[in-house]
Amino acid sequence: MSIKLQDVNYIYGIGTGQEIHALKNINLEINNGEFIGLAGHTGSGKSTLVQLLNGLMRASSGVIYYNGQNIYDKLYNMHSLRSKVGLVFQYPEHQLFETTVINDVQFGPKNLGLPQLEMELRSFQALKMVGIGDELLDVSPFTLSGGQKRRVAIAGILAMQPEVLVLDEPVAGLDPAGRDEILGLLKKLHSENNITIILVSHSMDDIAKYVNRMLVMNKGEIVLDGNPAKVFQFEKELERIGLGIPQAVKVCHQLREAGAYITGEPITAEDCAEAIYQWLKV
Amino acid sequence: MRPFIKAENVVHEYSRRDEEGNVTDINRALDGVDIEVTAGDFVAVLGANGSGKSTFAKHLNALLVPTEGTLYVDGKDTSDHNNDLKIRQTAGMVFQNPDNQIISNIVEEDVGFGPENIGVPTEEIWRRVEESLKNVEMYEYRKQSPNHLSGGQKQRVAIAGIMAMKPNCIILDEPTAMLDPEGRKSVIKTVRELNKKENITIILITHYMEEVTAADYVYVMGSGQIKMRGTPRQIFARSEELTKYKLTIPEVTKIALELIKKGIQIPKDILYVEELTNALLKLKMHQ
Amino acid sequence: MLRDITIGQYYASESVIHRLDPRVKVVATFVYIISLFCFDQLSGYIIAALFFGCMVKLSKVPFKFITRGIKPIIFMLIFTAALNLLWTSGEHILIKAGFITITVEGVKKMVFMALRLIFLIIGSSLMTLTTTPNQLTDAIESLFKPLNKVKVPVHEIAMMMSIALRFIPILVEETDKIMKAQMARGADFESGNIIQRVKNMVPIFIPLFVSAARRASDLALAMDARCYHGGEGRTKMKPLKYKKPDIIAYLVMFGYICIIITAGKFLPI
Repeated sequence: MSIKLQDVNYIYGIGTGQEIHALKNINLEINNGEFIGLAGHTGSGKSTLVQLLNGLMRASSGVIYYNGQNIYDKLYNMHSLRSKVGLVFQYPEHQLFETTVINDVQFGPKNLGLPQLEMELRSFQALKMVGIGDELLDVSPFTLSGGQKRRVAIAGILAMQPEVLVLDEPVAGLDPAGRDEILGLLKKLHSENNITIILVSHSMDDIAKYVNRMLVMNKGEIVLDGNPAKVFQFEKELERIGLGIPQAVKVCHQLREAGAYITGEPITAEDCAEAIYQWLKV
Repeated sequence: MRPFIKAENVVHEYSRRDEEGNVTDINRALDGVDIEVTAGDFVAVLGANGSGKSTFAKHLNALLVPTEGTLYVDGKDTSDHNNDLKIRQTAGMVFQNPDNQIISNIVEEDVGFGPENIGVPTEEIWRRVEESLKNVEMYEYRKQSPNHLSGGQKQRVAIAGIMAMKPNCIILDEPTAMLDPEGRKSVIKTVRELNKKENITIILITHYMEEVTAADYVYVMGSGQIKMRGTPRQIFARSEELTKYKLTIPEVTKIALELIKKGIQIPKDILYVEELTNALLKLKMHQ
Repeated sequence: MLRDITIGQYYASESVIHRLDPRVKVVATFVYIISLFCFDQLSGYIIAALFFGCMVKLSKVPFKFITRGIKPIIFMLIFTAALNLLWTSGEHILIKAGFITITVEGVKKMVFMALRLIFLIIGSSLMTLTTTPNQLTDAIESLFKPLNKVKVPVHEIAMMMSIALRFIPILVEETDKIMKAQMARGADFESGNIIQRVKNMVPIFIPLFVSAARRASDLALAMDARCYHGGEGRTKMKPLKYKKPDIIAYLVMFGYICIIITAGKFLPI
């Protein structure tokens, strides 16, 4: 199971004389079970890229394969692709519309044409996964707190049982506790339910600790690709495109520059403290 | 000296009513808040979502008035509606959503909106608009439509719109929550410069820890009360308490605390990366 | 992208017409439209066309932008023309086939009616092409100020117009975003009969309505915070002031309407 992009380009406003080349020759393979962090400055093309992945937008040129099948093939079922690659937009709570939480979550499964029982089962499961208790099933989604609304909205996508879950800035506007809650949830979905996750964010601190592969975009191109430790070695490049690196990495880099012998590329505060401790001990 | 803002036991209750107008539910958003702010200070109010910090911010601008207790802004009681315009002029407010506070289709006209409302003569408006836009480094965009600006730029226009009313104080209610890191940096930089160069009193409401390191004084709010108060260093040294109020400390402070736990002798109120590395290098040299 | 949508169709240029006070342009357009009904013979149309041609030349707006305004009303134009052609009775019958009778008077009336409509449309296009929406709102506020006396909230209406101008592109973009988000949840907006399609719009309309309400309440707070308290005691950053060219423009308009009326009375054809 994989997504493969071949020479994908996307140009906004073709024929208007004000064309914007949002994606330039993207070649990318996303494998089953990966937890990917997609970082980039506003306008780097990352939001455009994720909308291509589930067929909401069509590439200006190039091909996208999902599980080996060309999604631009005439016979390809675009509708089913949208359920397999679930896309959670930025501020997803803004799309809630139903009278009760459970009805809203059922919107996706209903559109898939599932039988009533299956629909309900999936919705209950999805709400359970995001930690929304039974007592909230029949309340109006508009009365929930910000963090709860967002989890309900994510459940709305999960209820379609996607194989790949793409989230655009899922923690924007949340407080530290809310941020940890959502990111922890994604980690659980990845490890327990084996869902491939693509997390789009402009905050390195948020994604670095969770993902096992990072993609960095700038001006419509993927400029860095690798595990977080490898990507953070390019501190200068990251800073130049306005992204920066986690503070733990920065501490280690600065100490190393001053001649300290620090092993590894720790990303969390705990790992960083341990590495420094080892160096101080010798 | 008289404090610029003085809140005494401020309580605010939102009440929900049924169809007949009977109160069915009372939510105490502020529960006895005491705060004093000296003119010229940079004060940060930290709090998780639902801690009451935005409700408090709206009180400072007389958009809400206390149910109990008193709040004075520049010596004026906010619960007296005759003071509304004077208070809003002297303590301007910038909101979270950049789009929903820009009124005009052209940047310069939006900045002129406040001065127009308080009856500033035309030539003076033009002078103020120019000065405020230069202050936030948005002068070259003055003829543009706000729809084409980035979030950070829009927030700076909103700040200019407040500056054009010649306030003594600016209250910023989570001004960076919807911005990307670059926009966030530019807004915080602008705010700090206004504090230093123009001596504007700043009250920054936020849940981003990195933004409060530069503040003179920090208040931490939780369930409608002031739970902690002190300088950023004093606050961040109490990391366990902060977690209780759904907040965290900056990563670098966390690293320092981890090291202290391991028996390394460094200060426990570290706020910046350079501070930590310097302390560690000094320690290594003495070994 | 969607944010580029502008209401009206302003054509940016530096011309005498562009620089005129917007009030002059609103009044002039009004006078011009009235003038079109002050005559009923060929010479009147020639004068009106010549006058309009001069204005277009002065405005530096390319002619194709002016005629663009006719496109949306082409159907209406054909319909009224046909009506005039068929329903006008007269003495000089051209064609008579069954119940269809076409007279010379009918042809004349058709041509004149169509010309009148075209002049009317392109005349007001010239105003919107040379005046920004903001200037237009200012002009309307200023011109309708006397209505304040009969309790018409002129300032508030103008303020509402200008806020609408700012938020329409934002809401259009938001609609697009919500639509995409619901499509990602498998919603289908393209198939089904009309009733089905309207029903399918509910997941778009409700979030859009909620968002518009939130924006409105945010904006109201922001306006309060910036000391907005209605039009009373308010000064203007860009006050409307008549200058010399504006006076001349009024005189030109006065001259034009005199000529048209005289021509309508005394010229035979």
